Amino acid sequence: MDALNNETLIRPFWEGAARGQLLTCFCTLCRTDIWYPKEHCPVCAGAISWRPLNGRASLLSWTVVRRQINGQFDVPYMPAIVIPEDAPEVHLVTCLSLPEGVSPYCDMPLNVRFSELTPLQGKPFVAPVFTA
Amino acid sequence: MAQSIRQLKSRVGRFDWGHSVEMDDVNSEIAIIGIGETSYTGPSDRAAKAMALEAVENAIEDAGLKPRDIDGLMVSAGIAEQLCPDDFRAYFGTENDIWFSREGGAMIWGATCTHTASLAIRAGLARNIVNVFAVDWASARKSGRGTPGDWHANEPMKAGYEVPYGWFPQPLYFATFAHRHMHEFGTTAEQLAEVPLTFRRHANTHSGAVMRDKIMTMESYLERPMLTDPFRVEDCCLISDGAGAFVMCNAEQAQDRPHVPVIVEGVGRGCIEGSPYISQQKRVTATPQTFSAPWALAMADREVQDIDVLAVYDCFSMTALMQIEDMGFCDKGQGGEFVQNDRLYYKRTRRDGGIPCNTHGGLLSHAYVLGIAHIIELVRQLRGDAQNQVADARVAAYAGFTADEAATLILRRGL
Repeated sequence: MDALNNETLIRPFWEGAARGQLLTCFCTLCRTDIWYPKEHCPVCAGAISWRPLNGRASLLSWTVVRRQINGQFDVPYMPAIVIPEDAPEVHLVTCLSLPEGVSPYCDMPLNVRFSELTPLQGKPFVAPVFTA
Repeated sequence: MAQSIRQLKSRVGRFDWGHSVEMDDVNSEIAIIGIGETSYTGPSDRAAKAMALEAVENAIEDAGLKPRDIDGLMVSAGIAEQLCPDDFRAYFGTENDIWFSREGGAMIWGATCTHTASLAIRAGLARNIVNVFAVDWASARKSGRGTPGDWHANEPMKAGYEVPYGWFPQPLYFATFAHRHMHEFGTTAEQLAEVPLTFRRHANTHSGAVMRDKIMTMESYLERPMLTDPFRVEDCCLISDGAGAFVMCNAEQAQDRPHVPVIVEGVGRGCIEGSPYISQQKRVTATPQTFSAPWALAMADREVQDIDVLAVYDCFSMTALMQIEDMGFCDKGQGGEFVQNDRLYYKRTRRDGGIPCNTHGGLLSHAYVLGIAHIIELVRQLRGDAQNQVADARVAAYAGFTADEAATLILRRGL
């Protein structure tokens, strides 16, 4: 039962990413954005669905992982939390992919890009990342 | 006269990104009468249960009691192997019934166990309750058995949305929040450094501290490479093996014990909205201490100015700094400036405008036993027995933390 929930609440996001869409879970009745996704709307118990976002976001904050801590990726890499312009209640955990010479700063405007991430274990996968 | 929940609520107020748990007034009902611990180390191949029993044995003796006097046992669920009543009875050769709670141990429960124990004593379920916490993460990590980050990586939403991006474990969470604090309030690396530096100084004059022989200066700290910006290794707590325990009983019965009793005046617990997902916190520059400290202080009928000695859950330098702000020792955002100029050093007392903090060295330099040693240190301070003794310590506070929750404990020296 839990696995099914996770497939319902997690898989659509990653399937959207593979299609080049940044999605958020939302309530079909009261239009509240629901993040992290839940089976039913916590505000009105309405049915959930997914809606595409415009891809613009601002940087809430970030870190630069410089030494191997979790074995997920080669270091250095830059995980971050961004707030979508058109879903301000949503905090998306993501990675930054910034051009050479561009440093991150809080509230920096960003745009989504769909890139293949290559974890140290398991298969590469397409993910929404954010860039300047 | 005990305050009602309604009275406490009206004193505390409401928050827009979390809440205080409504805890009954237990002011002055329960006392800590005995403390016990093991040595604290890196990998030692000691088993968690064996260390727990050693700490419990020491605490019972310190309380002037015998094992057969103990009729309550509290542990933390889900971290290492913790004791159960059968373990206690087998080790000590006792037979009596033991009231058992898994809402004890360390972290936030180091504080709230006093509240839970008070209610058990009120209900006649137990009279002498031992709270214990043991951890063998140093040995576990060395042998590949497990780490503090495991729970986070296995939580379904985190596994689905955070782990794929490598946003785990805890050092990355709080390094991310630290950058925001630096952005919003101008907190600098040199200011942040004061937290690990001061706690290291405390450890250097504390015989039980793991980092007792390791000197750290501002220069040596700043030269250290970044682990995950803006944290260096020194901004992150140790990984340790060790155990601590304390015995509690009704405050009236506490007067006949060998040591000055330490009376519980206030307990608070707070939780973020959207728990356990700290990535979704409306404010990432603050902690749930925002919700727990006011409740504990209201129950204790105290102001922060009354606190003579403090122990905060310093899993990271910035989380300690934020909790100090959130408890009200300074304004939100002023923590960087606040922790400079020996503010937290044990010799700078409240009278001199200081607030001695983590006088044993904390999780950063004493040992990572998730707060149980913080409470033991505060008991020593209030007894007048501490190695880095704060002059005239009468009232103490412990700030416990688990990321999405926090708890606060206010203690006073009994007569």
